[in-house]
Amino acid sequence: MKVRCKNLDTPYQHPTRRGFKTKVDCYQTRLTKFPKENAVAHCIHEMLLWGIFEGDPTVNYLVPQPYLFYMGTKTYQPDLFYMRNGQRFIVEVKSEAGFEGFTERSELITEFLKPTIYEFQHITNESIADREVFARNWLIIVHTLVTATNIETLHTEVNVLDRLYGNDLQVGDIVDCAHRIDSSLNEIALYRLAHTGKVELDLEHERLNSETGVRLCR
Amino acid sequence: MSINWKQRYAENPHLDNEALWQVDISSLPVRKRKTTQRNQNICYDMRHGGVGRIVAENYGVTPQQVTYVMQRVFSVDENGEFFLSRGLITGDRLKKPKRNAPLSTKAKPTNAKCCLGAVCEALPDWLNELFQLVLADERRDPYALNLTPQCFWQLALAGLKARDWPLDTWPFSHDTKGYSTFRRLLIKLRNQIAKERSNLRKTLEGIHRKDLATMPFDEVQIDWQVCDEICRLTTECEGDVVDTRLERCCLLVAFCVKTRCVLAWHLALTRNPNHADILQVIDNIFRQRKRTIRVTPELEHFPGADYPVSVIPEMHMIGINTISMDNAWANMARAVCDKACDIGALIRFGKGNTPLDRNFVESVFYYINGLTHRQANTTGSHPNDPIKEAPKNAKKPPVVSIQSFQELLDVWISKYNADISFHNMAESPLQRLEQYYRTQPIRLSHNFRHQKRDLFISEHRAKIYAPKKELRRPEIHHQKLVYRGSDLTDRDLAGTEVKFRRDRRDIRSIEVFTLKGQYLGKLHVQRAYLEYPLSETTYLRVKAFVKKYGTKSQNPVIAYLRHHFLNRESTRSQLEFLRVSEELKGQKTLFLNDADEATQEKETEFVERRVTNVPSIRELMKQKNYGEDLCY
Repeated sequence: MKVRCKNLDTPYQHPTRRGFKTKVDCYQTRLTKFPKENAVAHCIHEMLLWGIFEGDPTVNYLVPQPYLFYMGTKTYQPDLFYMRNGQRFIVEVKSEAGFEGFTERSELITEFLKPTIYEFQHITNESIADREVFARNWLIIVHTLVTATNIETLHTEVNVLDRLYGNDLQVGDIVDCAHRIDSSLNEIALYRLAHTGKVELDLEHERLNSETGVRLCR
Repeated sequence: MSINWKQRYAENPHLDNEALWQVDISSLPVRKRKTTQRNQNICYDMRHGGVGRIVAENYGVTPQQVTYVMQRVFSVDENGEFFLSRGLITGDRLKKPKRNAPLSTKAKPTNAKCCLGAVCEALPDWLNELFQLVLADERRDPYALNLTPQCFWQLALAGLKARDWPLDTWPFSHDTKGYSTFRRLLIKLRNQIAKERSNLRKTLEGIHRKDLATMPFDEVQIDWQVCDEICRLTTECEGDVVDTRLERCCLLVAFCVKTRCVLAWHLALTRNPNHADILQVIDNIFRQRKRTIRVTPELEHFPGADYPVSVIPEMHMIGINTISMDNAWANMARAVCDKACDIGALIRFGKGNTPLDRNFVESVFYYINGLTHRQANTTGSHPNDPIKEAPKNAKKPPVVSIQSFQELLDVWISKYNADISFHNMAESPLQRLEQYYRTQPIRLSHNFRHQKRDLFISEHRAKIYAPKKELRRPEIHHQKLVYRGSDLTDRDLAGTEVKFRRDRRDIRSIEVFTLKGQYLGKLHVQRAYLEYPLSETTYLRVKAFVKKYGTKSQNPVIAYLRHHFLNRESTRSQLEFLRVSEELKGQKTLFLNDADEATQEKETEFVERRVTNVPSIRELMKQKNYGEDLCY
């Protein structure tokens, strides 16, 4: 079967039909790594994958619903495109059971992408669900950053880095939870540093709170 | 003769083992803990030789209750095992209800308790057949029947007859032939199928959805329902005061899952809310306050009843993590998505037919319906129910004005936020919210610290238009409206792309900026729409009205309003009239002319035609041969 794709060089978010939106669990939000428009996900795992990639500083850019492949008379739309250290990946998210019926299509796409710089990846729902807490924490941080675009924190970021040099602190040491408004600059600076990979937050197991550990990235 | 519990206890010495009598009280619901603990103590005392009367006195119960507890714990289940500690938990049904008496017949009518269970036991294939019918209907199989309650009932009776069920036994022994019972069975079977489907879906998706709302505003659920209220509109026309029934309105509610707090509500004066109503309820989350009671005498708010703005000073900066809504088209409007994402929220549109994913907001509607809904009929409120409450028993609910209704709603909903409930850590929702706000890092949107949050203001791009032939000021066209003003007079700007800011609640003016953000000026709409503050929704409806009916009036808005005022018989028109007049009046008094110019013209034409068609009296008298002289 012949596979075609019109826009392999320029991934962009393909619009979701309204009829399809009503049939699935549809999620929309703003992301820092996809700032052009609202990102759209068609299931909870796609949405959680945004959070995982937002928390990964090696991922520079992502596009949900990036391509439309024509396969014979049928079409296929992968779930996500992302770029990590210059490498480009096209991702399909399904449950383990779901991938059993996906082998034929997957082989066709992999074959089609072989001569290109793109790589086709399978990510299972189960593996995403294992990192759900991390993903949700990062989505919260991203939402804070998206709504703090007007705030300049260059100097505060330097101060935060100074305090972290040689010390492992907690979020509560940097952000005063009793006076959030006064320490808002510290909070945004900390999140920006974490987002760029200069600072590491312990977000794997617990929700982001004042006791979350903070340390400099090695 | 039933066996005494003491006899059973004596015959089974292994029951002395205390491990068999332990109950994990902490795992029980809070409301059951106290009584279960008491039952456990009573049981312990009685087993260790206590006297029933004295034990009853010690625990403040009657001796009969002590006997009941003991008999209950020493009862046996279907497998022949004693209930023991299971019997100590109060309120739990131990045995499935079963009919022991013979079924009711025409010759010997008895009550119909547990009759259906007895029939199902006797005819298991009949129940299976009914289940298959419902399953086919739920799957929408091509051969499926449209299973209304009445249809299901008739099929069930036909199935019984086909199996030679005696025609003098239940359900044929009763006049109603068990209609209500079969209607309930249909609902039960549907629920059973829905539950199985839901479990299957969760299994296929790989994980079960967990409630991850660990913080206030982690998940805010928004939904609406049509209120079953009876409101009136009082109008005065030429001295006659007329009360007209209004159509039912929609109530939109925003609810915080973690704190069980109603964040905001909005009464949309329409049956079909649109994106503006959804935006309004989201906007209300950040600014909803108690209403001042003005219209309803002797009504006042309950002590402590209020909204989150009263306990969180930085409410305008609060960030919502997830907004859950259903997949209605109004919710999925681009305006709603854009604005909700702008405030840093994740929007979730639930899959169709899964209202249980937003069960919390549904529970609020259940609470609100205590105020607004009429009592359900004995046969339920399904529209296809053939049997209704007799007219003599039907109660007419009181008719109130829309202002009174809004005040009542405000009092009732704000009371919800002040009610202390055990499932909410014995705190009221507002207390809990305040507690979280003081101790936990709730997300804040820092952009809104100095900038006003307004969901109704939107930015657009347009080109400046200045026709060469007509030497008028340059203008901006948007939604077939023309904006001009003294701030924009340079005709050389023609063709330049600019961006402008517009308020959806008042489309009369826009603020124009260059693409780099430099302020150019304020432009105003054409004169026809300039008089009253007009929302985008109303403008679009007025435009559709003018397109359909046409108007020669100077002011199409007033023509639209007059059209709805004259259609007083239609409840929908009355509601629209009320909505538009509330929107327009602001500080002014509205004045509706006697008639539209176009209408006047039409009426004159009609009168002239009538005069020409009817022959004059003189001609009539000539035809009847009365003579010309008699005419005078």
